[in-house]
Amino acid sequence: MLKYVLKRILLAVVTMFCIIAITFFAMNAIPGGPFDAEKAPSPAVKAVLMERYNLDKPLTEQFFIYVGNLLKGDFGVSIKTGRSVTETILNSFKVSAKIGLMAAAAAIVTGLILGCIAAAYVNRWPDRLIVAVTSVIVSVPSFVIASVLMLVFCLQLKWVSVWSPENPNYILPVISLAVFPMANIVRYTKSSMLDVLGQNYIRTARAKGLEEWLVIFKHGFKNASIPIITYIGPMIAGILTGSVVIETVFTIGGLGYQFVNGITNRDYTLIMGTTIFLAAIIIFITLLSDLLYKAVDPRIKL
Amino acid sequence: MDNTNYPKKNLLSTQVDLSKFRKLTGDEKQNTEKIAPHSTYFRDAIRKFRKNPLGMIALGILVFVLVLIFTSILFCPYKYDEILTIDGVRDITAKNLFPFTYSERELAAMADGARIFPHIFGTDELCRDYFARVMAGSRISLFVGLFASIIVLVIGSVYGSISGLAGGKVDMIMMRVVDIIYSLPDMLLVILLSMVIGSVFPKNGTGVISSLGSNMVSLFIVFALLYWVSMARLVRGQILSIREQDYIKAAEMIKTPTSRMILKYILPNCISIILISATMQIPSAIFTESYLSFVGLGVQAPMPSLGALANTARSSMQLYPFKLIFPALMIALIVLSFNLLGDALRDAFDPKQKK
Repeated sequence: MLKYVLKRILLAVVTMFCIIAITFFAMNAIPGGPFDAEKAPSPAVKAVLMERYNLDKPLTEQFFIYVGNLLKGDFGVSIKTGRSVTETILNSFKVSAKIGLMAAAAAIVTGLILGCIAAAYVNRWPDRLIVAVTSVIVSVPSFVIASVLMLVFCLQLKWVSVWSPENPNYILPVISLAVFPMANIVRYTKSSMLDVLGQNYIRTARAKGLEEWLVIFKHGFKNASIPIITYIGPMIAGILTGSVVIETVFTIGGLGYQFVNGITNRDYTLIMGTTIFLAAIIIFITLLSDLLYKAVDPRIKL
Repeated sequence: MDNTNYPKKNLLSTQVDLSKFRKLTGDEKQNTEKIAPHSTYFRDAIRKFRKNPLGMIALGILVFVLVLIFTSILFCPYKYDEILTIDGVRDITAKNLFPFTYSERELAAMADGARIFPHIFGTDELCRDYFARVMAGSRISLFVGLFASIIVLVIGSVYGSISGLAGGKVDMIMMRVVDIIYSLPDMLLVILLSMVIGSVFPKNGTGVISSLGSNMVSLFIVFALLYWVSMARLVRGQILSIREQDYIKAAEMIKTPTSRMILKYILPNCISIILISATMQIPSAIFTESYLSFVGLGVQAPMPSLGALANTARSSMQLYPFKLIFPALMIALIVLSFNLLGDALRDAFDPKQKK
C-alpha cells in the first residue's frame, strides 16, 4: 500500500513537472515576444522591460526562475494588464469553484439516483427513457446545450435572469455544466448496479422478503458505488476544464473565462498560470480519488 | 458391408474397430449440419450485431447521413463559400434567410421564370447558402474525425504492440510514459498546443498545410501527441491476454517465427476490438474539433466545420435560432449514431468487455 501511494505521488509530481515544462517551452515557441505589439516600445524601453521580466536570460534559466517562483506561489505578472496572475487566478477560482462544486454535487446526486432507477427497471420503460436521454446528452457539445438553455429560459421564456457578477443566477450554468458528467455517472451506476444485483447476497436479501427499494439502495448501492469513485475524480477535473466553455457562454468571470481570455489576448503569463493551476488541481483530485478507491476496496489489484 | 479397406485390428489394441461403424446416409448428414452450422467468430459477431436493433438503427442513420452529405455536392447547386448571385450580380437581399424562403430579388427572378434551388436551411449573414455550408461542415468534421482516429490507431497500435511484445523493462518504461501522458489534462493541453502549433506554422505557407489550414494540422498533431495513449493501453492489454492463450504457447513451442506469430495468430484475434475502439475515436475527435472552434482555434474561415458553424451561430441565436439548431443537430446525429454503433459492435465482437 505504502509503495503504491509513493508511486502514485511520484507519478503526480513527474506529470506536474511535465505540464510546467510543456507549457513553458510551448509558450516560448510562439514567434514574437510579448513586447512586439503594434505599438512597439523603443529598443531602450524594451531592454528594460526584458530585464525586468527576466526575458533577456537564456531559456533554461528563465524556466528555473519560473519554477522557483511557482513554488513560492508566484505566477508572475500579466503581460497585458500588468496585474498579478496569482491574484487573478485566485479571484476567478472562487467563482469557478462555487459553480463547479454545485455542478459536481448535482451531477453525482441525480446521476446516482437515475442510475439506480435504470438498473432497477432494466429493459423497462424508465430504463429505456433514462438511457435514451443520457445518450442524447453525451452526443451534443456542451456549448450547444448551454446556448440552447440560455436561449430558451433566459431570452425567450425569461424565467431566469442573465448572469451578472452582482446578480449571479447559478441555475443555468450549473445545469449545463452538470448534464454531461451526470449522463456518464448514470451509465456507470447502472452497469455497476446490474453487476451487484446479480450476486448471491442480493438474492438472500430478496429471499428474506425485503422490499425492493431497500434491496437496491441499502444492500446493492453500497457495493455498486465503489467503481463510481474512480469516475468522480476525473469528473470533477472535467467539470473544471469543461467550465472553460460554459463560463464563456454565460460570460462568468471564472477561471475558464480567464483562460479563453488569455488565449484571445495572447496573454502568455495568464495562459501559463491558468493551465498550471488547473492542471495541479486536476492531478491532485485524480490522485486523491485513486488512493480513495484503493482504500475503500482492498480487493483492487493495482 | 465390405471391410477390406479398414486397417487390420490387433487383438489387444484400443484402436477403434471401424467395421462396427457405418457411414451416414445423405439424409442424416444434412440433419447433423442443421444442428451445428459451421460458423466463424466474425460471422457469429455479425449475426449478433444484426440482431441488435439499436445498432442497426444507428448504422441506418449513419448511412443516411453519409449519403446525404456526399450526394449534396451533386444536387445542391451552391458552394459552401459562394456568395449568392443573381445574373452574376451579388444578391444582398439574400442575407439571413429562413429555411425554404427566397430573397426579394430571387422572388423577382422567379417571377420572370427563373428556376432557383430552395435554400433548405436558409442563408447566413454573408448571403451564403446555409445547407451547403452545413453539408460541407459535416464533411470536414467527419474527415477530421476519421483522420484523427487513423492517427490514433496507427500510433497507438505500434506503440502498444511494441510494449506488449517486448515486455520486461522496455514495457515498463513505455507504460510509465503512457501513464504520464494519460494523466495530463487533455482539454487544456489541446487548446494550448493547438494555439502554439497554429502560430508556429506560417499562416500563408504553401502546400498541404496551407490548404488544410494550420489549425487543422495542429489539431491532428495534438491528437498524435496526446490521444493515442488509451489506444496503446488497449492494444497492449489485448496482446498480453492473447499471449497467455494456449495456442500461442503451442505456436511458441514449435518455434513459429515472430513475424508469422504476430500476423497469423495475434493480430487477427485482436484486430476487431482495436478497430471498434478506433471507430469510437471519431465522435471524440469531432467533439474536440468543435471545442477548438469554440475558442477560435478550429478550422479556418471560410472553411466550415460543424463546431465552427454552431459557434458562429451563437452570436445571433436569438434572431436566427435555426442557424444553431442545424449544425448542432448534425453533430448530435453523427456522434450519437457513432456511439450507438460502437456500443453495438463492441457487444457483438467482445461480449466480455461490456461496460
